[in-house]
Amino acid sequence: MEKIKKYIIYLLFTIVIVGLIALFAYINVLVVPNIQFAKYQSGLSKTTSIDSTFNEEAELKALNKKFDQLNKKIQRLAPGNAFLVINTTNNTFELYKNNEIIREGKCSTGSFISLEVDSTKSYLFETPKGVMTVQNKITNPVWTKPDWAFIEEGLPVPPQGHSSRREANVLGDYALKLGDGYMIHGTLYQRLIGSPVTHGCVRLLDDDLEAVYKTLPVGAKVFIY
Amino acid sequence: MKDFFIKYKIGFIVTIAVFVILSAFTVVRYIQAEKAVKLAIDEKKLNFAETDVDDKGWSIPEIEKKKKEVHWMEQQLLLAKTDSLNLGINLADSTVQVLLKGTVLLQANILKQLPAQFTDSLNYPAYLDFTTISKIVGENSTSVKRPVKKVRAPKNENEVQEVKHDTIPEAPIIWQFVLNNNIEVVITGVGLGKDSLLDMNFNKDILKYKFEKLKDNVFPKTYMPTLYIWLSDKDAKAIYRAIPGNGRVVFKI
Repeated sequence: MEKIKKYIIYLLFTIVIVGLIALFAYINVLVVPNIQFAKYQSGLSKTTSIDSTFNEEAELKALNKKFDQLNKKIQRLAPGNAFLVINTTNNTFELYKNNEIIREGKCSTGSFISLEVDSTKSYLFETPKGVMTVQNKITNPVWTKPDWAFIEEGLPVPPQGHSSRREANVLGDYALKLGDGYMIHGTLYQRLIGSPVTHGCVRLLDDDLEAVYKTLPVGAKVFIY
Repeated sequence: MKDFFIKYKIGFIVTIAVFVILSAFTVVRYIQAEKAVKLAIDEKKLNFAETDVDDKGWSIPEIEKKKKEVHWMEQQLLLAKTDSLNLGINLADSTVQVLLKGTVLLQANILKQLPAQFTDSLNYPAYLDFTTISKIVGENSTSVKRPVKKVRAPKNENEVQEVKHDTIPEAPIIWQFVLNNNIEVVITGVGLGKDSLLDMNFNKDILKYKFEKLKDNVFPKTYMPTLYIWLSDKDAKAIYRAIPGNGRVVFKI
């Protein structure tokens, strides 16, 4: 009986010690940082004194004027009537017209595969981020295969202009050229749309491609992030 | 009673020793922490002293609100002059935005923010210091910005292999960055649980972050306010990959 009592009392000591450790851990981990933040905030907080010579009405008028001027400048930055936004992480797109999303869905962007030819030459299949412009719109595009298209198939690279470089019916019904060889186009591999599988171009499903083609004029902005 | 104390004196001594050690540790840590905060405030005030800021009317709510709007717009216009993708953290609207040339490309809702009132009711110079365009000067993340996979070019047609794409979903992102105006931001991605609902563990996350901070900085010498933000993992990853390593960030408070 005495032994059990001793065990119980030492168990209570252990509980108290564990409790103390937990309490101090709580104070150090959560309370101290919170106090630090509160002190930091109050150290930089505003004073409530008001200058008696201060003309509130005039200041507000001046601020409103400045606000309107800035607002006009911001509105001038608007990327035109229609534009396209591509999300390369989630492989999605949003088509805007008159500042509203009129169509959204899946797309495919660069696979981030680096095709290593030798120690000095490689091709990185990445969709560039930033803002691009629709430079040209074409129907029934014919793909002019670049060197990497042959290299990744293990085929010899033909000279420039060779007939084997031209391939029809693989880019869908439309293509929008963005410059530097990048395009928005269709694909034969529709089931892969939504995955990062391209060589840098943006692939869309047939219906989406048609909507994008018909909505975006030459000169429209394409934002890629 | 005296017998009881004598009988269990080891227990009492250990308990008291633990209490004294923990108390001493906490007091020293608290004093250090307070000094660090004071130092951080003094440093900020020194910066303000160098700038000539007209803070007239800042204590009038209507003027404060308008000044904030004007400042936010000025920063937006400055950001629009750059060609890179920028990050906008709008705590007033609880959103995080990816901005390019004045266009909002992505707007993600903040699911949770800690502290809930980040730098609330600041004086005007301090407000400007926090909300003027800042730059990321250090970052780390559990994800990669460019998930490049190296593939050796086949020597002939027989060597061509289909590239397998990862099908295992990546764990939710934790992206931590420090800005040149001495603010630390921790963005945590919230993934979907088995029930396809957002799997949120704010308390667990915050405990983990703060414990890690304690481990790295037992007796703090410097202080940097940290803003914790939770976003949907999809948005968090897209934002992380969009913003360049030394990207610009602008706050609206």
